[in-house]
Amino acid sequence: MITFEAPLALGLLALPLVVAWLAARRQRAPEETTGTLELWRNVASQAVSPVERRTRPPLALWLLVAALVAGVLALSGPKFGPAGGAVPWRLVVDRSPSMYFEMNGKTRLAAALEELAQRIGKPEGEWLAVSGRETCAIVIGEFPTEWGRAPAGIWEAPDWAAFDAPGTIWITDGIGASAPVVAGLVASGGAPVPGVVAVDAQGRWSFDGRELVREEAPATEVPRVAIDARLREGPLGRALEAWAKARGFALPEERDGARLVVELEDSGESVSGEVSGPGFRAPARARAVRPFDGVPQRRLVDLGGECVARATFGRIRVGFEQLGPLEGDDAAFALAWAREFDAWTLAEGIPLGERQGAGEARWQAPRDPPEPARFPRERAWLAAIATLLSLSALVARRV
Amino acid sequence: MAARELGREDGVDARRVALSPEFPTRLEQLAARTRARRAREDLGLRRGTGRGVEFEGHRPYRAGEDLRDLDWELLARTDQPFVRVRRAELGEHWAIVLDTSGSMGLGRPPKLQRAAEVALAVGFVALGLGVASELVVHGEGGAVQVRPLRSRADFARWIELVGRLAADGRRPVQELLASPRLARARRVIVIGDLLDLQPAQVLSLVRPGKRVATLRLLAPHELAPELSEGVEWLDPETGARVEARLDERTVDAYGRSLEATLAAWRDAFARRGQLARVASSAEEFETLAGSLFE
Repeated sequence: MITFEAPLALGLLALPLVVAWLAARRQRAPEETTGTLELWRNVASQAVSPVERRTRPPLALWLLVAALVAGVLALSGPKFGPAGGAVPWRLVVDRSPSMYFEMNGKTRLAAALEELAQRIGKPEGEWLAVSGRETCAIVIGEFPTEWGRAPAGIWEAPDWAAFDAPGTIWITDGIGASAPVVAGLVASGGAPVPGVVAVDAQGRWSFDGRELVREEAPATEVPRVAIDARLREGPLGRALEAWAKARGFALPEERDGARLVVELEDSGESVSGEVSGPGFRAPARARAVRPFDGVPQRRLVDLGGECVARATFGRIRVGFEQLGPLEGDDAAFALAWAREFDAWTLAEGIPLGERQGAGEARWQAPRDPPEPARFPRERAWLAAIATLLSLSALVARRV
Repeated sequence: MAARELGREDGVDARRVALSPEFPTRLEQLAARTRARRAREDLGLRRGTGRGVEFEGHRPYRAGEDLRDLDWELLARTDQPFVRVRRAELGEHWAIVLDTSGSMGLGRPPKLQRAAEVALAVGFVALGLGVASELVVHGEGGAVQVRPLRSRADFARWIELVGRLAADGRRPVQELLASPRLARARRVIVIGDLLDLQPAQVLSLVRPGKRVATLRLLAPHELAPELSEGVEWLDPETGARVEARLDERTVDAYGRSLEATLAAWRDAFARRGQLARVASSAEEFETLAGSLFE
């Protein structure tokens, strides 16, 4: 959306229009009536080089008109982004699991947003979805409603210190005793939330509101992981099979309901090289894989400058067309991948730290709230363009 | 080059004919010169071939006729006014076709002004030679009008008619050429820019003993456009426009194209032994009319 600081200045756009109109009048050839128009038309059609008069206004005029338009726009102070003269906040959103616990019929995230709206008005600006130090998505404008639903996997709380900057507000449920120095903070707070913390084949760990409780009860349903059939016979397939057996996961053909899917992407740019790790190495030919959209993720393997394996919660995407034969210790290869399988398999249960209470609701105003820039970036650009065009018009006129 | 609006020339309606106060005098002088030349030619012709505009006899004088045609000797002997009757008067009948299409309003003076003066001059000279003529022209409503000229009184009506003419809209000369009155004329004189005509359309009137002459009048800027940065040419009849840069090369190309067109016109008439003149509307009407009697 585009807004103007001084919309009345847009009225000056009539100026370049008038200049263009006057120039066009001057450029227009005088009219003369003739009975021999057909002859003139024939002369024009038979000429090797153009006979018809060039009626385009000269380049200098175009440049001058463009310079005037840019100048007037600069005066009017256009701004792309939030409407209504909103302060351009930078809003860092905590999407860790506790933000989606309900309190008083709404999530902690919704409660924090409501509190924020009461403090600063309708919050608009640059919304950042952050997990740890990683900014997973940026949205300009209003709060993206899809962020109101819990994402897949266990997002980490933002590494707040990395976002302690002017014009920034942290949106979370609680950050303990620490506090931002410069940034603002809105925390919904929240009581401890009992529930499952972790599940294994023999039972599960739960939080009862005060402490962890072990419940022995074999799982009734075997959790599953899946891998693309084309990868199953390779070293990666064998490593996944061994890991699944050790963790008590089934490895069926279908991927529906699987807590981890290892998928093959075969449309990216093809690269070759060597995959190596502590105690192993293997020649490989693979295709570059696309990043996942808007979620925390990590590059697992780079080959020839391209990422050929990356992971997010519940999904590992690889581009291996050929991997092996392995040199060195096969177990070292399987162990390296087992760490990734552990890290990205969707867990049943929510970490204890998330379930423990977030404390009281809290608001801390930002130390230096951002003011709309007196000379915003767009205005500076337009002024520079207007100057450049004016100079070009002068040069073009002399030429 | 100043913008020129169709139909307006220095505050005067250029589409209409306005005769100057000197016009009648200049007309008389032209008629006198033509008669004198014709008389000299008659003498020569008689001595040579025995043909030409020969004396045929007498007829009673009619009021308004030129007194110079009066046979004074016969008046003295018979006390009755008789005028000399020549062969031409007995058999000859001319048709003068005047183009009033929209493009005739162009030029300084307008082509229609000059064409009308020439038409009047030809009619007046013919009257002086004892030749009856008819003016064939589009009238005010656009209908084809034929106005005979047999006497001075008729000539006054011609002048009145010409004063009401206007170069206006599309009035094809072809409509005038289709007039049945042209069939009995021994001489057809077509005056105008004739830009909408092909030679064959005029030459189709030629018959044994019947002559056709054309006087194509073009405005000075049509004959020789001046060099200029640019002009937007406008066809007053169709409203079509062509914008052109009038540099030397373009004006030369136009000149060659125009000359080729006019040469083709003249050649077509020459092959049939007919007269085709092309002139500028800036020339005096006496010169233009005289060229038709050469």
